[in-house]
Amino acid sequence: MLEDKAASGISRRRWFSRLLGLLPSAGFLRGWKQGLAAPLLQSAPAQDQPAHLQNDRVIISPLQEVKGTITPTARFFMRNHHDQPELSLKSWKLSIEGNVSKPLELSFSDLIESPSVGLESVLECSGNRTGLVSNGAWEGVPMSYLLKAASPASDATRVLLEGADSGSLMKDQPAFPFARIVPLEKCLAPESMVALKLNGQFLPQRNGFPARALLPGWYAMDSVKWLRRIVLLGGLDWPESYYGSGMDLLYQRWVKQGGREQVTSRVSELLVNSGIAFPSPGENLGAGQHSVWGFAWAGPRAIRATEVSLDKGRTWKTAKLETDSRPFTWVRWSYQWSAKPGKHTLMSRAQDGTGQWQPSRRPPERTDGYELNWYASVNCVVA
Amino acid sequence: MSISAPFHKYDDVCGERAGVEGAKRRRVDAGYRRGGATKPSARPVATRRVDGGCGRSLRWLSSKMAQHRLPPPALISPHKPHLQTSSYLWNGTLRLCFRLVSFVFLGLTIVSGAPRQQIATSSDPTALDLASLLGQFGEEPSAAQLGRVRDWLGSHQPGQWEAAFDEVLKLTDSRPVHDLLIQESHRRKHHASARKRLSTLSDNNPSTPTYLVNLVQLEILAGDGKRARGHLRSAATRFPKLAQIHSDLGQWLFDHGQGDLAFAELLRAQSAGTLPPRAALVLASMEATVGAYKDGIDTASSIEKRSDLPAPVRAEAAALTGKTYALARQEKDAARYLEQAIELAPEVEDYYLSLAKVHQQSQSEGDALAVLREGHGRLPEAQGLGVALARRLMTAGDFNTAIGILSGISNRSPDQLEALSLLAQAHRASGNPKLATQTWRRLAQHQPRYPMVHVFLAQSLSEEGASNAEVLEALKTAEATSPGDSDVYYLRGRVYNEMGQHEEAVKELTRAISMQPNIPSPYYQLGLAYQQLGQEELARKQFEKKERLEGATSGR
Repeated sequence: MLEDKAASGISRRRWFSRLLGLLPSAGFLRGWKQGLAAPLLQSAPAQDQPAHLQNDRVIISPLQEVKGTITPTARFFMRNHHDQPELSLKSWKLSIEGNVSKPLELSFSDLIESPSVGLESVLECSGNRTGLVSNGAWEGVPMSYLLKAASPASDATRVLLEGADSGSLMKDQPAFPFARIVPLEKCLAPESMVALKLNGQFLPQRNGFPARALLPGWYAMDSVKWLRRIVLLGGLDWPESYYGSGMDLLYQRWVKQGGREQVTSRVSELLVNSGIAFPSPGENLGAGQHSVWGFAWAGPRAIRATEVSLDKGRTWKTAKLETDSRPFTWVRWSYQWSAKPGKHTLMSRAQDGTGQWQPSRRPPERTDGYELNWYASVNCVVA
Repeated sequence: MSISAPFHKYDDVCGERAGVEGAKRRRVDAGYRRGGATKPSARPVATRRVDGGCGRSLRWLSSKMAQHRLPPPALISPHKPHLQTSSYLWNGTLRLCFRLVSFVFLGLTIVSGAPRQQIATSSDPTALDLASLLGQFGEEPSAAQLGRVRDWLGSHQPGQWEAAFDEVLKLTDSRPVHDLLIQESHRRKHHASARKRLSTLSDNNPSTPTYLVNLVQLEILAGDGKRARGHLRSAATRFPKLAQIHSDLGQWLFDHGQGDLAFAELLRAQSAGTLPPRAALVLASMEATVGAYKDGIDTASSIEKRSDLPAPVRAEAAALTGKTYALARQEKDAARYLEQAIELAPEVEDYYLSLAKVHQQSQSEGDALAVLREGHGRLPEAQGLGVALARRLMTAGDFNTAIGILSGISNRSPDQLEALSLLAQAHRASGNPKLATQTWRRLAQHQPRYPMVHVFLAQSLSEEGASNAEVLEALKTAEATSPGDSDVYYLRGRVYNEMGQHEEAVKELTRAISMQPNIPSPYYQLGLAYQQLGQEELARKQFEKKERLEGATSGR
């Protein structure tokens, strides 16, 4: 405690000056220290290593570290298919091509100087059960602006979003870039953007620097990171990076019917879901009053209600919504719990604006690993 | 008075040769040729210098007239018909009156031998002949010269602003003067008229970048980012290969707090050609900051390699390269470049500090200490180095040397609060709680709101063996200044335990734990309190928690 502080002096209060260490000195870069540096330098990734790095391709995002509603950038979840590419701004371009009459090749500068929009939005991995969901304040260029500038052909109905990361999805396959195909309609939606910033800073490399697609309200696999190509597709177009790589087989709903497994539809829009931030799993608590809290989200729909169960789902209590409920972002909820000694299982569930509640369990016919949105639950011990 | 400016043909600035129309205008794009000089190579020059004392007398007189809202003589000059702001009749009458009064005054001056020196040095703005003044500008106008242009602009009434604006644009392509003009337009809230005039000029002169630059500046100052971005996109389309325009814009945007747009423009400039050193280093810093380490290293090291540049500039570039390598966790290269920076500019404190950090990052504590010692030896007055060295010496257990350095700094500079704080800690660590208390008191007196100072003072008092009442009093102040600091309650709980007030101790320690549940020591004190209260089971649990936390801490 005090000893810890003494050991590090009072330097914990001087984090900002440490960040400024990158700067050239002696006023040679006059102006840098006076405002510009702060927002830029705070994103210096080496000073901002995520604490919950599972491995090179996964970072778990702990809900309890969210202050307010925004997940700190260093705590933002990450789930990659391939290794992160290291891109040079000198050579990186975003091309918009395919069924367009004016193909474009945009530099990072072009994107920065394009009209921009901002939006608070949840990103959730389609395989999230816990820790693969975060909420950020995004800024970027409306995808509709870029697509319209390229003048899509009238038969363009789908868009291939291709990243700069590549690898093999299946054994003995050549490497293909990560790519997703989404309907043109979603790309033209006002919330869809080519995101350049997260929480006021340029994207960290692990989250898609220099630019990523952001399709708010959809599961995160379609928000392609390290975006480098946007290809407008007609109905008969058959891009190899998508179909040849096996990507078309991923993110589909598989169901078992009559002893056979089959694909029924594509995973896209977020389902209503919730998570408990406090208590965290296995936490030991003292008896008494505790504020149980967490988040609830429903993609493009707002949250109508959130409930908490203290008895493994037998009875439910209404939780208080602490923040405004809006589409795309999440709402913070809380419930005042008088904890008595013993082992407890707390659960949460949310209802979206259409009246849809989270399910109590996984539909038994589903055999894929996506849309795992049944009740959230946490075990804890009260002493 | 006859004024003319030399007109030059445009150079081919963007793949197309400007037409006759453009050739009649000033050579405003001279500074923006690809890879060209940063300054315009030709400037408008008044072909006839303004006359001496009598001329000045006339202008001095006219300035007095302007104070009574009469236009300055420059504005009614027959050589600048476009600047007429009122009817010819009105101007003609004014001119007549002015000349009559001028002759009378001139006669009086000659007859009476009026103090010519006084008139000649009059600083009245309207006494300026703008063309003459601008003609005297060197490559970089001095602040005084710009001040005189500002005064000249200031002498115009709102109704005359557009004419004054045009006059400046017509007479000079000097960037600082244009900057000033835009600033003044912004200050006087003449955005709309300036925007209209610059847009027209830009549309009519598509191969001239100056007006687009001015438009960007105007919109940024007006807070209209959307319009500014639009102009920047136009500039990118119309002048993709003019590195200079993008570099200038980048630096201007940077200086005006527009980091993102500055970044975009500097990247554009770099892809179009060579960046000036300052712009390159700004860009390198930005690239490093956003995580594009390789780009940042390439950009900064390209400046470091240029032997034609002054050593301090190359040193900055080397230091930036080193720091970027450090961010990329390549400590060997980082150290190499920072050593080079020190070699090039051994007087810069920051380089030693950065190199020491790199050594620390690569677990080379001895090297870090050696660098700090070297820096402190060369720059004994550098406080940052002294503090860093003392901190490292304390970590190494050399408290006496640290105390010597810190005492020197805090005696020389009582405002160096970090040195005082470290000094107190050094005294405490070297077994001198009384000196530690004295130092904390000194710090508290000097800066009562210094973070945690009262908490440390209370702790020091407690260790020194001061009375419990004295410690509690210090904690009262600590609570008032740092109510969110759990140490206040932990220390108070400990004191209450010593005083035998265990129920009070339980309250305080429970509060400390609720604020910081992962620190072992309050659990121990709480266990003691419960033990004294006869609640053995609760006490046991607290001791167990303390053990568990200590195990977790030591296992990390």
